[in-house]
Amino acid sequence: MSHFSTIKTQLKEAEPLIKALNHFGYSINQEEKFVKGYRGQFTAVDISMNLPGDTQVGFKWDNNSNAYELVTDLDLWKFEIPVERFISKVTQMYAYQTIISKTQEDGYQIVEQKNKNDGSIELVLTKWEN
Amino acid sequence: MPQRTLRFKIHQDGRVEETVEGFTGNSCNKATKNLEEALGEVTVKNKSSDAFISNQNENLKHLNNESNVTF
Repeated sequence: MSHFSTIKTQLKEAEPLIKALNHFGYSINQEEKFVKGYRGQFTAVDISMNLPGDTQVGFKWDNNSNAYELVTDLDLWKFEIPVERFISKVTQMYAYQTIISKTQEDGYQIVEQKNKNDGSIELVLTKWEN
Repeated sequence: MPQRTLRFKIHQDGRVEETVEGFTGNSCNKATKNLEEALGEVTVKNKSSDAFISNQNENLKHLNNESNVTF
C-alpha cells in the first residue's frame, strides 16, 4: 500500500529545532533561558538564542498546542526579515531536520535533494527491504 | 526485495507533502507513523490505488507508483 499525506509542521521536538537554528547560524544559550523584553521584563523559555544587540528570541513549550512557540518582544525585533518569515524559515528547516533524522534511524538513504525555485525543498529517500 | 521510497516536498511555510511508495498491506502507515508524529498534524491522507495489489503483481504496482508521483 502507498499513501500521500500533507502535514502541517509543528515544532514538537527540541533537537531538530536546535539543529534548524544552528543551520541558520544561531547558537543556543544554555545558561540563561529567558527572553528579556521591552522595559526589562523577563520571560522564561526552554530554548534561548544567542543574538547580538537587543533582539532576544526564544522558544517556549506550549501545553495547549503541544509544540514550541516563539517568544520575543516585537518592539525589539531587529532582524532583516519579518517575524512571520523567520518562523516559516525555522519551521521549514525543522521539518527537513526531522525527516532526515527519523528516516536515517529507519535505514533510509537520501537519493535526491533539490532546492526548488518556489523556495521548497524536495527530498527522495529509499531503502531496500527483504 | 522491494524498494521503499519516501518522497517529500517541504514548502517554505513548513508544510510537508509526503508520498510513500513500495509497501504492501498496512506497513506503509507503520513506516511513517513516528515521522508524522514528530512533524505535526496530518491534514490530508490518501491511500493510493495500489493499496489492494498483491506482491506478485510488480509491473502493475510499478505503474501505479509512477502515477502517484505528484512532484
